[in-house]
Amino acid sequence: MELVVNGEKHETETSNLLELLEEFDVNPDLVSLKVNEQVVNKDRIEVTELSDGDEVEMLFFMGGGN
Amino acid sequence: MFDFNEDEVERYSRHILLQEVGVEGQAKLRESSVLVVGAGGLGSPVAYYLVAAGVGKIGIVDFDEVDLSNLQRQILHSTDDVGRAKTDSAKETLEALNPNVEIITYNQRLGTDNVEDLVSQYDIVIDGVDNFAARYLVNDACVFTNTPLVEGGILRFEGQVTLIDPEEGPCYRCVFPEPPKPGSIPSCQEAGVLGAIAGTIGTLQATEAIKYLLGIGESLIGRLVIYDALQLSFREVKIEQNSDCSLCGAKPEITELEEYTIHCSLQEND
Ligand SMILES: [Zn+2]
Repeated sequence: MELVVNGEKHETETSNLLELLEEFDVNPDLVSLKVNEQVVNKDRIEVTELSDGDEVEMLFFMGGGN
Repeated sequence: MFDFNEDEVERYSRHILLQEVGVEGQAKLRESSVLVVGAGGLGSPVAYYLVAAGVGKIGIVDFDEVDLSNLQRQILHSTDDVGRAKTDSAKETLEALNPNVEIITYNQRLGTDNVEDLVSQYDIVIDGVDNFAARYLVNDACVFTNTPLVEGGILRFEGQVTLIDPEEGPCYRCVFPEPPKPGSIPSCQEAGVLGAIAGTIGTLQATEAIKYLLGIGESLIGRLVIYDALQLSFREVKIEQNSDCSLCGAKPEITELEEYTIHCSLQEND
């Protein structure tokens, strides 16, 4: 199915959010995840199922003042 | 009418020429105050430009000393400043740039005992902190005191910026509900950052603060702008107030400031 991940179209075999993160090699601890308009709770990542056309945002924690 | 002297009129002439600013806007800036939290990578360009712009009062909070490894991006400080308090070094640089601006420094650690009092003394706060404990603390204090906050972060070749106005849009926790796990935090792991990106994001933060103070342009509330330097692209993610937000949601669990200890080590529990 086709998702929109971080603003770009992405063809994938998986419909599971955690597996999608693995596909992108993104550590779930380093991001906040948004699926469509909803922010996904940390403990819900593993059980979140995606459907065709979903928009996923992987928003990284960024610090970097000092 | 706005009693700028001749030197000030000349100093700010390129602002005054702008229809959206003018003498009136410049006077508004002089009446305004901004608290810059952190005199580091982001705080440096932020404070530099706000002082150059003639914002009347700038507060700077920092507890660190200047380190040689800071100088790759923290442009308020120079080689001779290594070992000095960042607040002292920052004040000296900024006063040399524009003596008309009142610079107030707080050489102290932010905590639950001082943060609300500090942020509520300013019109707007700019976040340039290096750790997530302070980032959540500043967000929470701004929500509790209803103070607008320009959020910004940088990492490797990327940066992000948004404006939090507690009355009108999402807070940091709406988007990042919980602080990252101990040991996972990029800034602590010294993941590295291209120095100039602090300039890009800090300059955006300063611009947004000025827009907010002047009431001009499109506001950054509800928009998280992500900058990717390697691609040279800007992306915008819509962010909304989260009804489940533990701070500003329908049933907030956080009703007073909490102190977070987020360790940089890999030890999970201490
Ligand atoms: Zn919130």
